[in-house]
Amino acid sequence: MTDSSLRSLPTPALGAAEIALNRYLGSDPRALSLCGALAGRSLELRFSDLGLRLVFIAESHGMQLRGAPETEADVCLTGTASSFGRILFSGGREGITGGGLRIEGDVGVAQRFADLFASVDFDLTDFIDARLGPVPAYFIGKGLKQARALFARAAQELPEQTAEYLREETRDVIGGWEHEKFMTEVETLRDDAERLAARVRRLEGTR
Amino acid sequence: MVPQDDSPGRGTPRSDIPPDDDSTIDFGYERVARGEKQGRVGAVFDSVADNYDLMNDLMSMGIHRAWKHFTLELAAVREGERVLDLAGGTGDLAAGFARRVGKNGRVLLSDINGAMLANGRERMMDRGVVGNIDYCLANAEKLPFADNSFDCVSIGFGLRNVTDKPAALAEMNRVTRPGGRAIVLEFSKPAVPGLDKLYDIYSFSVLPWLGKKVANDEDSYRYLAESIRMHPDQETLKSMMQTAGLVRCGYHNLTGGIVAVHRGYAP
Repeated sequence: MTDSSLRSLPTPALGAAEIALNRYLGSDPRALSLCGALAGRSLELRFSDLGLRLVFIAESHGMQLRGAPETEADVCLTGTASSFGRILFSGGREGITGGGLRIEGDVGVAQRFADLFASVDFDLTDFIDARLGPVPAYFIGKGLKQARALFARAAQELPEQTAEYLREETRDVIGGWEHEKFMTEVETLRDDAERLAARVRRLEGTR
Repeated sequence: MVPQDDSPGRGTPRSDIPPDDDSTIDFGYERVARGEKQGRVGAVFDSVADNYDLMNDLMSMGIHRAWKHFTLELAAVREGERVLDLAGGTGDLAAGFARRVGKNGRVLLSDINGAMLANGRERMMDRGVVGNIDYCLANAEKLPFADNSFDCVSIGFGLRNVTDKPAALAEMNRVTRPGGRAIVLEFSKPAVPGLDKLYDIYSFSVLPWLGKKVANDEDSYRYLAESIRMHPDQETLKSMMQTAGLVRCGYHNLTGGIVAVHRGYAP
């Protein structure tokens, strides 16, 4: 993939992403100190399937996001969006070297960026506590916990209930036992047809 | 104050104005002696200081608040940091910085114009922003601070009024600690096709009219429109920041490039 074939995110999206990332990093002093230690170092991500590139430059106050590097980045990681996603959502279990990414440049810098992103400990209630005080933080935190549990339950139950509705109420799809019965009948019919075809061939041969 | 100019071509950067030289500089579309610009700009701001916030809201239709909010977010100042806000005017940016740096941080609101600074100070007290903010009447070209004094230095809608812009940028670089950021929020060049025509009509018809009706000062608001056209575009300002010694410089266009936020880091 050539440099010129890669697109950048639109500038407003870059700005919004940088602001969100810096709020996230700013919630954890340790992450900020790791940023400070990496200040001036850059990491380029190339999403080969999307034809997209994104550059992170560490600064003492957080992270700068660019659509393209001014000069060559310290390290460049190339891979599919799913490869990056797997590493990002593995909670640090999947290292950058084992995730199907091509690494060009300083692997040490790439690892330090990965450690930085993996280390951020974001607690929304701490964030709210700092801005609105402990009582609103408690109630908002409790509400969010209940909402999260509700969404988790809905996410788990929705496919089951939808399948049951389509199977039992609308009869648009069939259940497992019906499917097996149907497949058995199809196989029996196929065997019967083959047997009949063999008999016809035999009768034709004896004529 | 500013001569009326009804010549054709008003509203776009005028090619008949010679570039800055050692003896003269632009004051809107006028050429004035270098030593004269500061006084002329000072007179404009003495005149507009009392209606500054109202006019900002009217002229930008309130969007200046979003521009400033974006600038504050991009600066990402942290608790305990030291911030210098140059040409701080009535203190919109400084108030945001003061909230973000908290009681352990410090914000210095600076302006070259006494009337603007007095207005800013009054507004800060009205807003309840006290305790972590100081005020300083200072020329951005010759800052009275030691090297590496601040984590972040900003200038919002002020750089175009500075006589010696390279000197001001060099000073911003000097007083910013290594790794700290210098932020310039300023009008710039529309980057969306077709927007420049609309913007010209608005700038050279609506702004002076608003100035006349609301602030009773048409000339100052015509100067505003002209000074915006004479200000360097995005890429030129970026290269000026690099020349001043700042590194990792970049910018974000806002509202189609009518405004841009430039950011660079002290090496």
